[in-house]
Amino acid sequence: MGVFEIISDYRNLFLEGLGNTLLLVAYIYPIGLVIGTILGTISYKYKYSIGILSRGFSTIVAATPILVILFWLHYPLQYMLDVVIDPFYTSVFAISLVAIFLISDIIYNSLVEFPQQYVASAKVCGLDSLTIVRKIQLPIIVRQVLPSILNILVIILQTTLFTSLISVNELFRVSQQINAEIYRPVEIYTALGIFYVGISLLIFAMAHFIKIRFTRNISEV
Amino acid sequence: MLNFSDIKKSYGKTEIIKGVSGEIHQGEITALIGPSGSGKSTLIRLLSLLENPDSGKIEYDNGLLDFSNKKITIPSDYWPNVTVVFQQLYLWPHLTMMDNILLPHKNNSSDEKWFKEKLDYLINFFELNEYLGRYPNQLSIGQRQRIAIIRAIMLNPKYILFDEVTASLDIEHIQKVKEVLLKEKAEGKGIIIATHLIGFAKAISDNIWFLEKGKFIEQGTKEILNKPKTERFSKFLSLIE
Repeated sequence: MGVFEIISDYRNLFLEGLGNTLLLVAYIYPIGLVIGTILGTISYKYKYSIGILSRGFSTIVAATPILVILFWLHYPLQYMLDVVIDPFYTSVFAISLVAIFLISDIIYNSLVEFPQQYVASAKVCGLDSLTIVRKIQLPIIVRQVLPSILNILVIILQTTLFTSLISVNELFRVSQQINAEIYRPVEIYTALGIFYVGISLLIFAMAHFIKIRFTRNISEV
Repeated sequence: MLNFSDIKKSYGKTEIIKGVSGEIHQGEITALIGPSGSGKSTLIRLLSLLENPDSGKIEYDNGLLDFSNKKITIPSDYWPNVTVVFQQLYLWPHLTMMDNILLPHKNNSSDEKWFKEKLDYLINFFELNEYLGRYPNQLSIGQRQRIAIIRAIMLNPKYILFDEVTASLDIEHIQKVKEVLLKEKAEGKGIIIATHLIGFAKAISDNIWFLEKGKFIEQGTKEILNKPKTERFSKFLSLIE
């Protein structure tokens, strides 16, 4: 039984897993991008209050393995609060938390390093704050942060794999189920790899489109 | 009139500007000269309110900004009525040369007919027609410098502060800048030019301010270039000549 034969024979299971993986990132990406960008911007504006707090949390989150966060939220916390939450939403919450702080850090650093001279020249040209953000800062920052954000998105995609350990029926868990039935680890995990590469390529393609469409090389020769 | 009195600025424990005063009148050009590190660029940043002085006062038309009061509200019309052409230019790198000029215009309410005619004149005068669609990193510093000058003039400000406006220009273009600035002066603009070129200062300015170590050593009409009152200014001029 070859890789593509397995994919074909178990397409319904794979599709279910793929659907759940995509649904996870469909929740996590917007949450991480929107809240992370807002948090990064607020952290920059209020460096010595929210900024310090946010970077403190960010360090703690970055230092804690995602599996620990996931397990802690799924077992002890729900036991302590005497609640039962669908593992899918626990996973969305845990990974979104990581995504928010990682993206917030990138946005914060890009704002700190933003060449203030461009803002100065915009001010003396009489541009208002909103125009400066929209027309000057944002287009320059998007190009600057795009590669880092892209890496984060791919890492987050790969992190969804851990949610199988709290019973979310995503791609990895489906692959394990199929493997338990037919025991073809090489073919099955190769198939799994193909799915992840496929999704990653989609993300790369989207990022490339954004880069081409909205940014240009501004480096000095 | 743009007046400033007893302006001081320190970075850490180093006092860069040590209580300077002056008046900038519309329809006059003032050359700010002095050795490197004398505080020319800092003074321009302070007068353009990109940085607040530690103390002193700036009187702008009918408004008075007193920097001994820590809560300063910059008048909404200060920019672009007071604008700057920076030594490093700071053209926005992601916009074409034309967009660098047009973006501030979209934000200001200047007369369309005036804008079009003046822009056409300046672009032709500085021979920049074929470069307007290019980005700053695709052009020479001299070409960028001319675009930065046009961008500032097209704001139709009352006062323009130029920091080393001729630094990257050849003799021919320095001559053209001189011509344009004299025209702006005739139209009633108040202009300050920080420059190393004494000949240029002599040819274009009404007043001279000689700044050294954050202090005005001499201020007066351009006649002081021929008859400096202080030994220090006289020595400085002799070194340049």
